[in-house]
Amino acid sequence: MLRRIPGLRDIPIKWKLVVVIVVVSTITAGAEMGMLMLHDTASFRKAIASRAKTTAEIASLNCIPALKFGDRADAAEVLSSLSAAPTIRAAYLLSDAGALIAEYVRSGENLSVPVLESLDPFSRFDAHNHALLHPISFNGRSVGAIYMLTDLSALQQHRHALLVFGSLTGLACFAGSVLLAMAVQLIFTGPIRTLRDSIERIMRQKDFSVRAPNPGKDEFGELVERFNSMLAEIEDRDRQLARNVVQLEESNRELDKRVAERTNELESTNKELESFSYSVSHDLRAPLRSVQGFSQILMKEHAQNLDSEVLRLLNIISTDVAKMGCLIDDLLAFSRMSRQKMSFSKIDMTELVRSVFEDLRRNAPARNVQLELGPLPAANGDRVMLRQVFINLLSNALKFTATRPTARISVAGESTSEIVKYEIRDNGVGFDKRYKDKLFGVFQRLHSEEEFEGTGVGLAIVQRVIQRHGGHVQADSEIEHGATFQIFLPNSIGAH
Amino acid sequence: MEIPEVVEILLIEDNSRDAELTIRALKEKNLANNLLTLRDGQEALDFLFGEGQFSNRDLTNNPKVILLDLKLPKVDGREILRRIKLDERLKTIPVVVMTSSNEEQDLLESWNMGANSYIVKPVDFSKFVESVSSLGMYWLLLNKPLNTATHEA
Repeated sequence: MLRRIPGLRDIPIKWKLVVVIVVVSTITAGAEMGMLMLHDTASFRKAIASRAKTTAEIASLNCIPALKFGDRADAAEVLSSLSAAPTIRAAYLLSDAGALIAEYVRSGENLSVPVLESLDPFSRFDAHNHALLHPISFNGRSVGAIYMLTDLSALQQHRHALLVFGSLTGLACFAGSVLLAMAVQLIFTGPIRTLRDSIERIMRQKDFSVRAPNPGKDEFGELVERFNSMLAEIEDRDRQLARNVVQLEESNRELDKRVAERTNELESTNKELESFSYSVSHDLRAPLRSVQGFSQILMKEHAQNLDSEVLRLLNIISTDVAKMGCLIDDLLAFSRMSRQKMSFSKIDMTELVRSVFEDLRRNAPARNVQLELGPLPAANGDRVMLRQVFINLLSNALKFTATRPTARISVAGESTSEIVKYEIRDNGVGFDKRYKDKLFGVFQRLHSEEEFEGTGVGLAIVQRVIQRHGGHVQADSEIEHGATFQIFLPNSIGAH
Repeated sequence: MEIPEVVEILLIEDNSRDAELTIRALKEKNLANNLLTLRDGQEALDFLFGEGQFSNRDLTNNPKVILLDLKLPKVDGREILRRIKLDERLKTIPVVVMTSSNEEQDLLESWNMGANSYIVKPVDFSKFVESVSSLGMYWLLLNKPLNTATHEA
């Protein structure tokens, strides 16, 4: 319930404790004080009533002869002796019939004679007085009564003194409780502050080996103990983490080393491959040249000694060796396209395709060829390599449309923000689309040498170059209905 | 080894078949009269610098053209080219690099070291004859060598 009081939870525990202790001790002291005063007042009144009764009884006894003999003077004298008790304001002696016999009024008082309805005895307090009606009897017979008024100023003085004393004591108690509260809050908040300081130090130094000092075995001690075991847990994990980091760094170094080793291996393999292809280029061609050369010399210088069949066979040897030379050249070109460093630039592809086509067209000027060249998006690539791609694709298109009365070749292109696409379409003999994946393999041919000449390396070069540009190439065809080749390159220039 | 009195063409070629084809190609144009063929790199260096078996060679009488294969036993063709082009007396002799390799690297290296011509020996014999004989014609008959010019002046 206390928690609902707004702002209470923001007050430091220290002050909460002080306030609680002071309030509780003040309430306790106040209640004690009140009870004491009530009790004291009651017993004081009782004493007043009892003394009044005793005085009345003594006066009654002394008044009996006066009442018996109707001696008013004697009665007045008896009553006047009451002046010895200064708190008695007035006393009235009444006959059995209720008539006033004698009276005593304290000097300085101005009182009228009270009117009594009956002589039934009573003892009662009002705000300022105690009134007592005491019957007087002699030998069991009522002879009159005495009415006595006692003032309560003594009670009030007593109360006043009590109040002053109580206030002083209360004040002392309050001061004492404040001091006590301050001391008590130290007992409670001291360990909290120590814990807080420990936490601050841990956070500042990131040192989880620090432990909070344990204040004892109470609930707070338990809390600190739990906190310390939590710290131990964190310290443990921290250490584990550090170990893991070290291990990670180690394995990273190991990995780096292995990558470097692999790179070295790869580099040396690459070098071996290069020297291999160099040897192939050099050493494989020398004997071919020799076979070809000497067959030619034989045919030329000894033709008169050879019959036509021998000459035909020599011719076959010469032709096929020349073909093998072409194969080696193509293979070397393929390997060069795979290894050669690329230099990227922005290429006007429309211009490139046009110039390639015109070069190729010169080899067969008599043929009827229509080229439909749409505006092509520019490409970012190696000019020499991409030129080779279009040389290969367009010479294929020309080759496989050789049987058509009119060869129709179209080159179109488009680009998005992601890719640039080029499409080369012809109306040639096409190929069986079941083999479209084999088409790009080295030495893969779908036509016989008699139908169409070629080494089967051209499309392998196309694919290798496009792959090295980060793109891909695909082909589609129907037999006798032409072929379509599509080249996709990543668009590193931007959409047009 | 038979060494002609005057060596006009020095052919440095380890492959005897290639050497014979080259000589035949030159003969077709009647250019092979004063030709010496050497089979390895060391022999070539000995000849050029008048050492070893060629210690008696007249060093003022140098070949008019050197046909050099790059791939040679003992001393590589590149090394011979480098030594020729570094030597004051030899560096004016035209060197025609003849090789089977059309690797760009070889080509570039040869030009950088001062080769005067570079031909890739074709497999096809008629093309080979054409290349060799036209080069021989050019360097022997048409080109005006620097050393002759200075001698005459």
